[in-house]
Amino acid sequence: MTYGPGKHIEGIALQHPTTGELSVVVHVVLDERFLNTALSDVTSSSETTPILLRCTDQVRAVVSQTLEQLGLPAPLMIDVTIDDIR
Amino acid sequence: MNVFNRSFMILLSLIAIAFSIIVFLLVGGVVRPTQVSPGELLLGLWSFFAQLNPTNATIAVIVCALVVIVAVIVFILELNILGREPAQFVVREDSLGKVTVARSSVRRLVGYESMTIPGVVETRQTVDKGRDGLRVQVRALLLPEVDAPAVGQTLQEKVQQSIQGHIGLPVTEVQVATQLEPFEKPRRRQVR
Repeated sequence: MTYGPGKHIEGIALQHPTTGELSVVVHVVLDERFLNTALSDVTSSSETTPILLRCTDQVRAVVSQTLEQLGLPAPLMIDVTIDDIR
Repeated sequence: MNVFNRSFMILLSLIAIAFSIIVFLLVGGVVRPTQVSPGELLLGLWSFFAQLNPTNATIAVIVCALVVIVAVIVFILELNILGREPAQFVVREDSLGKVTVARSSVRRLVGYESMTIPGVVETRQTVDKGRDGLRVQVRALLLPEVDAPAVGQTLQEKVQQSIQGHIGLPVTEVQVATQLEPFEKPRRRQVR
């Protein structure tokens, strides 16, 4: 959880390892339907990267883009945890 | 707390327990200060406890008893936490950070994959981390008409491929136990 001035976003934690540096921790709950679709698509796809890593790569990309759009420095680390599948 | 801090807490609780036991023995007159002071180590401290008047001795015993209770609780808790399996598995660690997946998510994936196999009605699964990869145990409730050994083998292969292919974690062992009797449902407590 992130606690800022009036802000609280569940699943996202922003940390400042040193002044001016930023690292992000993202906790993700995967949609069961996404997983089922991905599992059924995987047989027809030639993609070799594991589904969950593809998903976490997308999460990292979105986090990077969002920070860039906000004019913030590129994060030092983006840790992603798949907390659950529902 | 990291492993070092936990180990330190375990050591501290053991020292507290040992200290309290020595105080009990000194106050009760069971041992003499010199007997618990090899090389006269802490002789002054032990002599102090041995010479306490009855009132102070009672207070010391009560305080030490409380210390022992707290230390035993801390010791058991820390030991339990140290011995517990991690709740998450690290899938990838690169320059950009870590990707982890909760153990419960891996269990769910195993469940989804198992249920896609014809003849499988219900499953219960556990996932543990071994030295070289994950160890998975699956109990599967099968339809009576299916070929249990064949379904079991399919289940083994599919679970292994699924975890390795979809999550990216190596699997060293998949144990499958099949059964025809329904699983016991968790009993609900009756509320009166």
